[in-house]
Amino acid sequence: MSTIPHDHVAPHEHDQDHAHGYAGGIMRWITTTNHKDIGTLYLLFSLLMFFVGGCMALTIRAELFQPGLQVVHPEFFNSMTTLHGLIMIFGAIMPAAVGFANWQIPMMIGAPDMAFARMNNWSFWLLPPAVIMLMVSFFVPGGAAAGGWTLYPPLSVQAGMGMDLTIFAIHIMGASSIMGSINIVTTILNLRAPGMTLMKMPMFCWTWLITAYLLIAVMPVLAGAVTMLLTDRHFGTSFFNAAGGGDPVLFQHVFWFFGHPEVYILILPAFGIVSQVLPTFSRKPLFGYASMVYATAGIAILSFLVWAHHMFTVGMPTAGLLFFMYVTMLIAVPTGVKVFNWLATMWKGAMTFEAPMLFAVGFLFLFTMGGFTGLVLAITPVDIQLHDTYYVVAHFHYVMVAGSLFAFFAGAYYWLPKWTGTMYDETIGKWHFWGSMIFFNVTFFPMHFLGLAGMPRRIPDYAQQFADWNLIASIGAFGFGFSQLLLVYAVIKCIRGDGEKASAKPWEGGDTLEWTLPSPAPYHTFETPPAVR
Amino acid sequence: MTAAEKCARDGSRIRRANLRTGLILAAIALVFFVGIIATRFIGDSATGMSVVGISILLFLAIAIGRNFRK
Repeated sequence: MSTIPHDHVAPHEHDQDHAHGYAGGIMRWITTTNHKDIGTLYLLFSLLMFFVGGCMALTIRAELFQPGLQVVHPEFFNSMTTLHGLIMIFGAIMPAAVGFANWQIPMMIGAPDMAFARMNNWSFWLLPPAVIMLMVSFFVPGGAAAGGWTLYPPLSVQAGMGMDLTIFAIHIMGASSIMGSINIVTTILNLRAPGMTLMKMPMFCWTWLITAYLLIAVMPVLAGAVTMLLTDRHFGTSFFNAAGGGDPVLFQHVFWFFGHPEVYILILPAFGIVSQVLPTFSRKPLFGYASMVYATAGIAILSFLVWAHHMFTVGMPTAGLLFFMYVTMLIAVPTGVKVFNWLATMWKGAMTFEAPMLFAVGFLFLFTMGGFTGLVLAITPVDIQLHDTYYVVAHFHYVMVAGSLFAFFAGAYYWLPKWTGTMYDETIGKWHFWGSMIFFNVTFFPMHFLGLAGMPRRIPDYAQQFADWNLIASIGAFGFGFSQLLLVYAVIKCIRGDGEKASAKPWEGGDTLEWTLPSPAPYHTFETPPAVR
Repeated sequence: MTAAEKCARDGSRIRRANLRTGLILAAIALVFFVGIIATRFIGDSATGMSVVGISILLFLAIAIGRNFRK
């Protein structure tokens, strides 16, 4: 249930911002162990990386604006596609999700902070060196990694020094993710307020608990895969090197054993945010809370069993193809339960459409479309036709951008008043939504047509027949990119306090513990745990 | 026992519980990291996949079973 019955405590009773201060200036941010500070660091870092990865996307789209080679060299183009993927996944979406977790989980379960506060600081501060390594790789001999974010051998075994930097960066980011996940699981299991049973937790905490378990299971697998890649490159092993008797396809199996759960790692926290936003703005409790929890767990378990649907074309036995096809389709069942419950939550609700709700509804519409194209790709014979085409690019951007990113935008607008104490500018929020919604579809919907027509992904040039839709997609991409500046403007306004002062509970439908705290939330909260009935 | 002593004892109990949970989770991560590399030395793909598969089932049993006990 999303409605948490608890003893309402007047905001001033939680105003515990008196006993402990914090270091001033830059040292506050470097040495902080406060979950709110670290959440802010994660969110700002992810916003920065979103723009870095976005600039790479715009470089790609500028090159693809028309046929022929005009903006960048093909090798650099390949590096752009590779680094765009890595930075958006490991630098933007995952840290954003962890940022939301840091800010919200302790406040939602009535905990004073994360369980391992110093490790929390370390988890964040590992990220900037990792990203710096990735960026530095552009300037080393051979350039940055250019074999795609999946780092498939033999390209990744043969590539230059940029690949080593990428491997080390992945190790560091993986370590950061694992430490963050251990922290989140421990916090949720051990630091819940008295009376806050697991089945009374807000859905956002449930989705993050399951996500953290997934991360603990699969990030070490990726770390193992890239470690083997590293030893193949420098220490004479032949795990994946066919010249020494290794098997390049093995890397694909190991990589996607990480890679598919990773998709759910990126989307489950987004599900959690949407499960908080929709009930609030529908002024109804979340429909089917228990089924949402079980569906989330079901998705997580099934995500371990579908990895080979990413590699239907490598030549698997028919039984394998059928197994992975059917299990992939099975994921539509728990996902369908979630979509049904979100719709049922809105059904006959007293809905209002502020920016968080707009993004949540946009998420619901577009993520469902992305899910449907996923079902299309799950069908083995269809996938063999569409493998490595722009149809796949369209599919995963509908899931990752319109899924994760839209939900994070919804979460940002939803909780900005709590974080900053200032209401965001609703007009800017709505402009941001409509700009994102329209330009997202202008960018990615035509890619379905390009893929169906056979345009391969990761190429800097293409046949004349693909020109029109590519031109439209590129225009959309620039529109989408510039629309995101509105988010930055809205966030800066809130941080500067330029706007209406937020009350403790700016959304009348908000019923989780954070809304019992004043806005902005005090530096220290719930040092005395609240009583939850 | 005074309120301050009870508070200190609770704090110490929570810290021990946190450490125990953290170490279990870190051990799971370590098993996956070492396991995925070790299975490459064990033998053919079937053996490797079996080892990884059993690890996953054990992991799920521990992860889910731990909460059932609560």
